[in-house]
Amino acid sequence: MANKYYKDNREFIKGLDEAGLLVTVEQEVDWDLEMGAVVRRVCEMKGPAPYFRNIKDYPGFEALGAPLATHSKLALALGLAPDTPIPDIGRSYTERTGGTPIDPVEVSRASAPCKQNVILGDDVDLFDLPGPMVHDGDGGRYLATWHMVVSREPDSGDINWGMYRQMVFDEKTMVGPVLPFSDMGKMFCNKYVPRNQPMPFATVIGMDPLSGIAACAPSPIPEDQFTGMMMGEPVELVKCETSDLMVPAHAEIVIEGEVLPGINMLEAPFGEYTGYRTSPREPRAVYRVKAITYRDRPILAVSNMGIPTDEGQLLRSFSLGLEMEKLLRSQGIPITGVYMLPESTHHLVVVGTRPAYAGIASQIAQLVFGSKLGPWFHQVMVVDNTTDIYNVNEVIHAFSTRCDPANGIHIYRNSAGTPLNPYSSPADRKVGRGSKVLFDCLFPLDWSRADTPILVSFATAYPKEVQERVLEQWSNYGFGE
Amino acid sequence: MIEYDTFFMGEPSDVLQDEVTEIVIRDLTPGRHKYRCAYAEVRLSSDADKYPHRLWPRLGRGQWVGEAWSVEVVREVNKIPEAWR
Repeated sequence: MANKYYKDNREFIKGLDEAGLLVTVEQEVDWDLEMGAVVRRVCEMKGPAPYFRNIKDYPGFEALGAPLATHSKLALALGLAPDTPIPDIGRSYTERTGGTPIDPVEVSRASAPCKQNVILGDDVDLFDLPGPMVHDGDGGRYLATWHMVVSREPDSGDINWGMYRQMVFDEKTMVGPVLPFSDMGKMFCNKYVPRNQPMPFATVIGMDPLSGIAACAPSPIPEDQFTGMMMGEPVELVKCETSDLMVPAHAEIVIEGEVLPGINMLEAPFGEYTGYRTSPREPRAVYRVKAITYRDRPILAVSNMGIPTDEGQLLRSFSLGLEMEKLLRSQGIPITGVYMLPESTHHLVVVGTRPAYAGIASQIAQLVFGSKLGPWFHQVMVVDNTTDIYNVNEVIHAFSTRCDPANGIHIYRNSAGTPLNPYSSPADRKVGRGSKVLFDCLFPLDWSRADTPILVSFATAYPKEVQERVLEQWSNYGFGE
Repeated sequence: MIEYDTFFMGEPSDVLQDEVTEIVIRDLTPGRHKYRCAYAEVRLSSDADKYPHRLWPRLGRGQWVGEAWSVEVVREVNKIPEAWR
């Protein structure tokens, strides 16, 4: 049975509007920094999504900013009430994605709105699209900030949807990092480059929100099937113009072409998800564009990476944390939950566990650092089952009071990292090397009950009947409801 | 006169001046094609009046240097192999 979801970007815009999570901007906005500045401020304020109806130099184009940069927008995208608590959003995601994968369905070109306009070959000009200059100091205009890149493994036929930033270099060329440990990087570096074979790609901009969530999720399930699981029915795809790749039929804009082997061109700097411009201008992968298709009056989707919270931070934290939870539960670890703080730019994950045996925190850290999720984060904090992992105050309290600086902090050197880590030395960034750390916030099991400190809080330091009486009398004391 | 900018990978004092050198220039002409990049063989100078076009330097992470240089574009260089253009 289908879940409640939004079939395309336009239905989602209506949903955001009805929920009070949208601001429609009718006045002209400049694609050159102004649009980026609005979206950036919205991210920092956790505000409603701006829907730009009038973009300078680009009549007929519109843009949606910060489409999923808050938990309320994420809840809405999943068909839930905007005020759904974070753990309940997570439960809905886990339930939907824990069943049988649902294959996508192919629709005809005539049924695919993304084919309403088709530009091919010599007529292709990336500057005909309103790619924003997102931040002052960026290396170029980034058309692809909230999008997905479709690619295929040449031997197995496995499909990947992922978010790989792309800077417009010239009319037919985009450039961007394809990190070798990423899913698309493994395909490109291990298969296409050794064969000197261009890799077909399709960049999809303004897809339905669940396809976007799938593209962010580090799940082993192919993203087209994963999207179907979240929808509760098959996602509709249509074949590309220049390759056999399939893209969501209801997307706003599709850019097709090939990633070229054996050649790199300068890309960046760019304001990145860590909140810094860390990676320098460097030679990176080259996307040669052969076709652009788009809906009538297309709506570009614009995210703006910087200090928290943007959709990259929010959704990567959300899905990384929940995929880690699946991994740990599959290994029988008695965890109570996993939460990756978006404010940490998906670098810090908090794991709640029943301290069932000695060394459990190290086991948890080694499992998650050793998984395919490992390169994307470097801090694991393990707390016990009395700590609410979603409550930052409780997490900070647990860390500050239970993590022994001498015995509770474990450092793992020479691990896989990314060139984007601001804390890494320039030499480590160059080769994508990093360090990782475990903060073990569990009291040792060999302490006797008499020697173990007792948490003092309203919930733990008073008998149940006293708590109930205080709560009943709260307004009578004069505190209000 | 066309205005360009470019990103210096090191310090401006290390940049080779008045000899043909290859850099990436960005066209700052207002309009749809603003920020179009191109590899180009150029001569450049920290003297803002020496060559016909203006060049605004930035450092490797986008820092604005603030003082205009000048540039002569000898030719654009297409880095894409012929077979894949």
